[in-house]
Amino acid sequence: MKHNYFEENHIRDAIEDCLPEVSDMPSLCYSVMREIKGEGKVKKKISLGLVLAIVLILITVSALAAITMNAHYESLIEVESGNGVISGWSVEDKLALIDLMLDTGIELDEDQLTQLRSGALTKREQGKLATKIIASYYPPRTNDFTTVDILAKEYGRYDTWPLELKAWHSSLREKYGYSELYGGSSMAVLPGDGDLSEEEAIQHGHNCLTEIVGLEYSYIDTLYLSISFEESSIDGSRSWLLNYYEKDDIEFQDVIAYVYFSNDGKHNQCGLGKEIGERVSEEFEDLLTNHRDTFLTVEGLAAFAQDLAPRINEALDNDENVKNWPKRFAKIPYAYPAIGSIPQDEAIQMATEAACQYLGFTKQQLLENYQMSLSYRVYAETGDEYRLCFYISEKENSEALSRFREGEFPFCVIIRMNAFTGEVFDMQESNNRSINQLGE
Amino acid sequence: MASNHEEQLINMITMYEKDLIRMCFIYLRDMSLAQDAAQETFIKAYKSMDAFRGDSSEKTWLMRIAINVCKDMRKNVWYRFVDHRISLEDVHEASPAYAQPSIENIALSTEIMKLPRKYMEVILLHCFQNMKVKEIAEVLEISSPAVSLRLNKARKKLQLALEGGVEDEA
Repeated sequence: MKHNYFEENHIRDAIEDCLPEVSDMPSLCYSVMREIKGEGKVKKKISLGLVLAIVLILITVSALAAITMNAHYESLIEVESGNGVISGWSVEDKLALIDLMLDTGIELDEDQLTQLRSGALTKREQGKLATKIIASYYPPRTNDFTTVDILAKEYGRYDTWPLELKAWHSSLREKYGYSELYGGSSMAVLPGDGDLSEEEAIQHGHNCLTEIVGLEYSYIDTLYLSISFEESSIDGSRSWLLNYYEKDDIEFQDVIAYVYFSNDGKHNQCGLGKEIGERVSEEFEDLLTNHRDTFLTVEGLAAFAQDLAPRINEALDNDENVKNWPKRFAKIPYAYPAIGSIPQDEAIQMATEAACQYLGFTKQQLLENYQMSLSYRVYAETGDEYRLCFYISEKENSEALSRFREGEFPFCVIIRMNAFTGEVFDMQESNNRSINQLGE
Repeated sequence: MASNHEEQLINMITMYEKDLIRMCFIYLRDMSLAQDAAQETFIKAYKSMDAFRGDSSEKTWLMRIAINVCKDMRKNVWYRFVDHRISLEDVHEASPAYAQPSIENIALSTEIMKLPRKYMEVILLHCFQNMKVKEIAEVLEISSPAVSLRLNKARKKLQLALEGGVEDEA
């Protein structure tokens, strides 16, 4: 029987049981109050309107058009440093940012702008809509929508920024007290006289990967390197951070390998990112969860067999852990229908007739009680085949499920058919409920 | 004499600190970091009390700050250098004065700690902080359906991890 871990306070009790010492810890009251009193005045929040007004005056007076964009970004970083992530800004600041976007020629959705200014929205709704409008032009990477996302429009993703840009962004945040208010114990800086140069750091990274991790130089050369140099605000130590990605991983989601080392030599760490097995299992889960309708089709399965299945098999060859379902799917020789094979709808029609005959059903009865799946496979021994599975779905066919339990209906009927002639050469029923909808 | 804000802060600390430390521990897998995170959360809450407009509940607001503090800490360079695969058994070996928790509770808490961050967040907020889907959506700034989906997925992952077996039928 399955245990329900989510009833009542089960999880809460479990965590409390595991961390009993927390109850006896001295209260944070004293340390928090001391921190607050010691710090004196809290940083004043800054309004974007005010900052922009200053920036505009500066621009007008100096007439330095070239600094416009930098001044614009600096003003945003200043507001961010006082107010946090953009979605948390006041409505007024968000509106000021939208005005600024419009002033700089950015085109935004007219309907949304009209709605924003209609006066019919509550403050909260207005704030949410404003965030949506800003995000429509500056797509955020995560919910933590920041100036990094805004700068990304011009300079690309943070991972691709040169050291100078990262250092400039960090220095502005530092200047306006971002870390003071929002934490962050390191900032991007440029290497100085006592530091390794960027080239030396890259060479050191490559050496670590070849000598310690065992990667080939030729493989490292195929990867994209994202490099940062950071200074800890805690102890002032400076470190190089090298992350390597596949070149087509444009979202920079999977670190293939990494090398982190500090200038003082105290820290030196390198290794591989997630193993292939872990990544392919996640990819498979995503297919099944978020793209199920397209994945579980003849074409979807054939695409899987060409792209993901070889990587799953590669992980298995490397003795990596791969979850059961991807492992099972990767063994099946799914393929696109060959030229000259009968069309899918014809195969379905022929299999439906065969299943009706086998079960003694009319077509309508069959469709009322069973769901159907179709795949195309190429076996070395038997050649090309369509495989159809008529199965009872717990969600869709509850009545048929009861009748299956009473022994009246089989749980599924699997039909194998020659893909060129339509000849049914195998038909079997199965009552194994652990079978999947493709009859595996 | 304490100001209104200070009084409010002291009330918040009294009410939420223990749960906050436990939640941060699960998130960060490190007790001293968890205490730092809880402290940082209260300091930030105090600093932004003027900006707190009461659009959401005090708890929702505080949890949002806490989650962001934990995220920041995990982003910290040195967090990545340290082996955070600490187990709850290790925690207890370090504090033998306390009764050993049950094996089931250790397994459940450990599996929560192993969940990908987005699933762990919703489980902690829903099942540990007893927050409703709508409140979690406010904390994480995602839609309510997205919270429900994550909760559903997180539950399946936990159930699977604890009871074994295979993924959902395809």
